[in-house]
Amino acid sequence: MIGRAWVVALSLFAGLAQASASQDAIAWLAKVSAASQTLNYAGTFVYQTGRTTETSRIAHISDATGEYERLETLDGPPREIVRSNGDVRFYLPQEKIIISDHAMPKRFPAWAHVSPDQLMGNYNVRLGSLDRVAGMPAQQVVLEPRDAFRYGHTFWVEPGSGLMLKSRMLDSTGAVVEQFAFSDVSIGGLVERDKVRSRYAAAAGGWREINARGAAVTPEEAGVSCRGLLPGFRPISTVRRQVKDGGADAVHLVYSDGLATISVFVEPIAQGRKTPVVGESAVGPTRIFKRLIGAQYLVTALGEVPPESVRRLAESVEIRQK
Amino acid sequence: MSDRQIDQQLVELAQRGDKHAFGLLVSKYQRKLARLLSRMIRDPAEVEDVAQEAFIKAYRALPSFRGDSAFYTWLYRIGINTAKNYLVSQGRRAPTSTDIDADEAENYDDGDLLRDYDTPERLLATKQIGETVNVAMDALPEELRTAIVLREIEGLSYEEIATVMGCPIGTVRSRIFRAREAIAERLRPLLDTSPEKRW
Amino acid sequence: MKEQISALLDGELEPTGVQALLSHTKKEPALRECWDEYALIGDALRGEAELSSDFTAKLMSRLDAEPTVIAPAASAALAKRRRSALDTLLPIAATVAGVAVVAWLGLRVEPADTTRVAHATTAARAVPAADADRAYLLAHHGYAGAQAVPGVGYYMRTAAEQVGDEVR
Repeated sequence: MIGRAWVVALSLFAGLAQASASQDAIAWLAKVSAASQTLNYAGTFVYQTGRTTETSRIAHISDATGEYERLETLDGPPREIVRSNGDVRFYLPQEKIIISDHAMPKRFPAWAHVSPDQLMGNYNVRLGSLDRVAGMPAQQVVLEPRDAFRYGHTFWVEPGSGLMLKSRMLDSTGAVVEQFAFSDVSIGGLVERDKVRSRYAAAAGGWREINARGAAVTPEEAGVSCRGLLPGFRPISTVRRQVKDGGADAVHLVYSDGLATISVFVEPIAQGRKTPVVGESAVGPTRIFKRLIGAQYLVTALGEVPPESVRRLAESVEIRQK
Repeated sequence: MSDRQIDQQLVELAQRGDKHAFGLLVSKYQRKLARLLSRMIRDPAEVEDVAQEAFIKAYRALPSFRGDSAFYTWLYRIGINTAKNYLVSQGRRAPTSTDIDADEAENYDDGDLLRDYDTPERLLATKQIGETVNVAMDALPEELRTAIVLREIEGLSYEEIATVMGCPIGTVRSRIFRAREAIAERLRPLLDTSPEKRW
Repeated sequence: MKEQISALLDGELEPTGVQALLSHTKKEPALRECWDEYALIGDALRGEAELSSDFTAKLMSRLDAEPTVIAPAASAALAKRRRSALDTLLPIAATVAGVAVVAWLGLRVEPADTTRVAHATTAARAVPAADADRAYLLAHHGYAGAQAVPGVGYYMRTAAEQVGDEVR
């Protein structure tokens, strides 16, 4: 019965085909995210944004003892990020600094609120054509934004493993905002432990080590909220943290539309400090909007979204009197 | 079985492919949803379109509804998002400062809303149904009228109504039913119940 | 039967009767009509917004064009797929955000790309992103990236300005 309905509907309604295609595409996305955690892989990728192009090497191992990962930049000053399960260390050899922290535990119940639904409400999710990336077949998964508050995305996924081989973010004019692509990668099989071990750890004994951590707070404790949310974006976490060394604590709110993330920082302006510069700016694909609330608070919203989105979110921030 | 449990039951039936169960939810919540939407969209025809859209979206999203919140809360949230997207697509700005957002949908309450969206035609239609209902109410025997007022306007449970009216719950149930039937009887000529309009 | 519909609408039907009544309702349009009318009466008494009387019928005919919903319970495999999609979508977002961390690395190499932006539709002043903004960038990217490239970047938030100071 259902089967027949499908046939009839398919022949009559394009919308239906779209709905089923969306489900397929969502299943592909689920595969990608599982793969990112469970696969062994090692390769070289190129990242581009604006006029910047950067090549990096990455290796990832997942076995019974956990997940290990290393990323190293190949252009410019060396930088290395090494992760061993929850332990993350970022080595800056030129500056002789190590920044260390624990990987974010999944302690935010709001994560559960990000669902395929939300994603599909914000993006038309569909499968694209079969392409080739890094010498491998790659299935395109296309996410077209349903409104002007987010960018479009295309992912190229290796069909066998689900590894994302390439991703591209497009603005409303179709211009590439950023792109990441493996130039070569080996998937599965044995990845040597050496590839996920730090090159600098042994020599880093005397380096300065910086530890950083934020404390989760409830939105009520934070005393900050965004009224009139940006369509499709939902709050996923609230953290109180020191953004600048020696500065006052900022409340860091994170909003997600299922794919894109916007951070909003709200912090008191220290007396005697010069008034911060407000307005729009950008760094690479990241748009920033700053505004003041009275002369007391600085609001900074940023994310990989169109400028209007960060502006609207920043403008909707309200401070609740405690 | 409580109201929310029944909604949940209907959702589960719909999730298992029973479209009529979803239809019952549509019947039950369409006007409340429309009133919520009319706070954001003035034109009644547009409100109706957006309400349709919101229900379609809700239907598509049913598999992911897990009953963490009440069905109507979830529906209102979808409705608000649909309205906002609609306004944006129309090049209109979704209301911001006097906004209603998803949080407010949780607490969306009846009875405190301005109804400034009525056009003359709409007022007439509303009036016709409203008047018919009023006339039918006036014609009801006292105990039926009291029972339905306590239920529909005061929102009391059958048990509470039984206490107020000093009668068994079974009687309350029967009185409310008889009141509804009597009103429906007068309403039917106004409603299009031709076979092709059935669902 | 109609009296039961009336009680069902009020959430006052005994649980034992609900199942049976709903399966009748599925088969009998007259019972659904009855539900329709009772709901309308309640709304009319409360002064709810008025919609076309065929709103539900219209919607239902549109639903005929929709694929029948298959619930998680109806198909274990599909349910599993859905759940995994639900549980694991975030890491994708993070993978993308994790890539953005690399963007920062790139920008450190080539700070000239810290661009001025003028947005045509707003009168807001465009300002170049100050070096100090890196602190926000790192907190943002690190946070978002923490799920898929776990931790990569997440830790950079507090240290960013210190790093900046060292570099300068």
